[in-house]
Amino acid sequence: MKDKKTATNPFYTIMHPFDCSYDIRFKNKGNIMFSVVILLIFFLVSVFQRQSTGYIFNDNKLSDLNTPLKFVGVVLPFSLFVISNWVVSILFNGTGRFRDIWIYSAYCCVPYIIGTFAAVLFSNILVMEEPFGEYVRIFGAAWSLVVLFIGLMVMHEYGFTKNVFGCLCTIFIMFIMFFLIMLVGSLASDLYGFVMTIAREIMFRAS
Amino acid sequence: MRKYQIRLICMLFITVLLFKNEIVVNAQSNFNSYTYDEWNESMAAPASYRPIAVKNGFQIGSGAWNTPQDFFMDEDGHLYVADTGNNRIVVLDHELNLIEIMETVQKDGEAISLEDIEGLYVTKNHVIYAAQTSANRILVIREGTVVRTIEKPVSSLISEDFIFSPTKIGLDIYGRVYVLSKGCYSGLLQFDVDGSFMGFFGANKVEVTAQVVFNYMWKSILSDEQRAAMTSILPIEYSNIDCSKDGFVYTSTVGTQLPKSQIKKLNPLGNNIYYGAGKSEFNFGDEEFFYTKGKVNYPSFIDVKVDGNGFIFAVDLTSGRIFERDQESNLIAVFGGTGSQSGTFTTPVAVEVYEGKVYVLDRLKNNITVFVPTEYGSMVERATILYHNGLYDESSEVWKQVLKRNANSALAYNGIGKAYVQNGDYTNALAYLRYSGDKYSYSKSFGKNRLILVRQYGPYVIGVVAVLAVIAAVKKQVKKRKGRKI
Repeated sequence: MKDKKTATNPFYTIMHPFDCSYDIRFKNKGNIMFSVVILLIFFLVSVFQRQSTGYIFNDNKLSDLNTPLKFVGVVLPFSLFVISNWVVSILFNGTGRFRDIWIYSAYCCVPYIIGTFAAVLFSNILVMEEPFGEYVRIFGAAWSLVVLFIGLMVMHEYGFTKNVFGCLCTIFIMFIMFFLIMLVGSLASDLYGFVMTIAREIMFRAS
Repeated sequence: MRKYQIRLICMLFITVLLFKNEIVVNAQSNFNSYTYDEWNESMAAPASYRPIAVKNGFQIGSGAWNTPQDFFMDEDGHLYVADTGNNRIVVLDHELNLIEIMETVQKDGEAISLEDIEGLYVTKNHVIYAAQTSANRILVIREGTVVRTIEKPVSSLISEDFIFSPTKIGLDIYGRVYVLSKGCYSGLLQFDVDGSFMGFFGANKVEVTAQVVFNYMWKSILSDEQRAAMTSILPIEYSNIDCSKDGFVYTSTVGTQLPKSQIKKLNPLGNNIYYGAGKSEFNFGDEEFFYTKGKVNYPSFIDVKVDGNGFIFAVDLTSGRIFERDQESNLIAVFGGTGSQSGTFTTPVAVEVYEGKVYVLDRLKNNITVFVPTEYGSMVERATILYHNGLYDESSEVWKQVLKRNANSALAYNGIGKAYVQNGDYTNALAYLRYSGDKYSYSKSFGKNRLILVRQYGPYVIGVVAVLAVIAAVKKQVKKRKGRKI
């Protein structure tokens, strides 16, 4: 009973990365729904961070909130990471499946989410000379990264050095994919402009 | 419906008749007025200055001017205009009435014409310092006679091929002469009271742009000959000087790559001491730039003037606007612009201030525009002066009036907030400082307010926690004993 609880509980995951990563990969104990919920919370917290960080630490113009952009800002890097890590794992004989990487990466966001949330709360009671909230956030981020690193190592059955190399490759591929997305986007907008110009021209001629 | 309209018009008419004396019609000005918010985005603001007179040479009665390069207002309100193209100096009073036209001056017993005067300075005793750029000298004129000249100084600091072509002159309170010479990158030439050369003063520094870094990198690799063939990097020249009553020298700079620190306040050592909040460099002019053909048009300041209250006025050649800032770099007013209507310019070259009025000389339009502060503008200035003199409560009252006219005025929020801080009313202070963009002050009073709250409610919180802890401990003990009994 207790064993079943472990892998579905993100709070347990962040304390026991070795066990949970193993469970998710080899005992099919991850929960997709849970990962989606975590990502949703991540998105909400990122909005919360933008809007509710105390005035002293908040340089954003509150009236300029763009929620879709925030959503993309959370989901796009996450998806890019998971996809590129999966691609790298295929190249380097990693044993992790796409589903496992996705679930485990989502679980790993939890310390960062908690840290960010705490930082926002702290920022509302601290003054400029006390950047304690920022430390909490950095601590959360570091925790997330360490847990993620360990988990991927176990999941893909890599050694330490191979995993470091794999992670670097993942980041590299993320950049390439990001670049391609930008490129496709700009080309698409050019194409759209071209088609629109022709359409307008035809309309002028026709009338 | 029609009946309704007629009634409405009648009512409006009656209202106008009733309040005829109280309605002041303020026509909209020919330029945009704005302030900048916390995020350096422009926001509409009421006009701070409005033009009351625009006069050219014909209207004044001196005949048309031809590319006047400079003018100077002395302490008696006499305005000396260097009518460069016509080789003369035109003297006006502060209401732009003609007093005198100087075409020739006596020098060593013979009359010489005032050719090519590009810069002017007039002392309290009506001694005119006129920079004759092409003649490479400065004439010191007293009552129509040249009493002495300042020419290329002989000094080990100055090389043989240095060409002394003075353009602008300033005299500080001690009578030292600061001269701006065309093509001189070493700063201002400083002359002592007796006319002897003292040295260079306060050179502009080279701006670190990408190109500068790139050149530096190349120069460390290349040979001496190749290095000599490269363009040398020089700091940008000053465009104008003004000496304030408190002994500082203000300079303006034209056409920089980075629009920071274009207006400098030089202390006697020649170092800039004019900074924004937290000793940061800041844009004196616009924060939002406009582009032509994909290139940014940075502000370039052609003249600077400081009034008796420490307000700094500078004319931006790019946008034709006059920016007014106080000694703490707060933006007080923006007025003027490019165009052909009254209150706008094509090529402004000089600005002067006299008793609150701002005079701007236009080189291509050959005219002078006089601005007076509006009710709003004078209110902001009054409040700023009160604030800088430490009269926070008095300034707060004025700031509240300002706020009624311009809800975007960050300065007003800051002024009121600081007044509340002064009185120890941190709750109200926070409410106002929130909108001022002054995070440092907000943080300070937030800390003070927090301390008060902790002192007020802290003991109760601790008391409640202590009581709960005791109850919990007692319950635990009771449970233990019960358990033992069973």
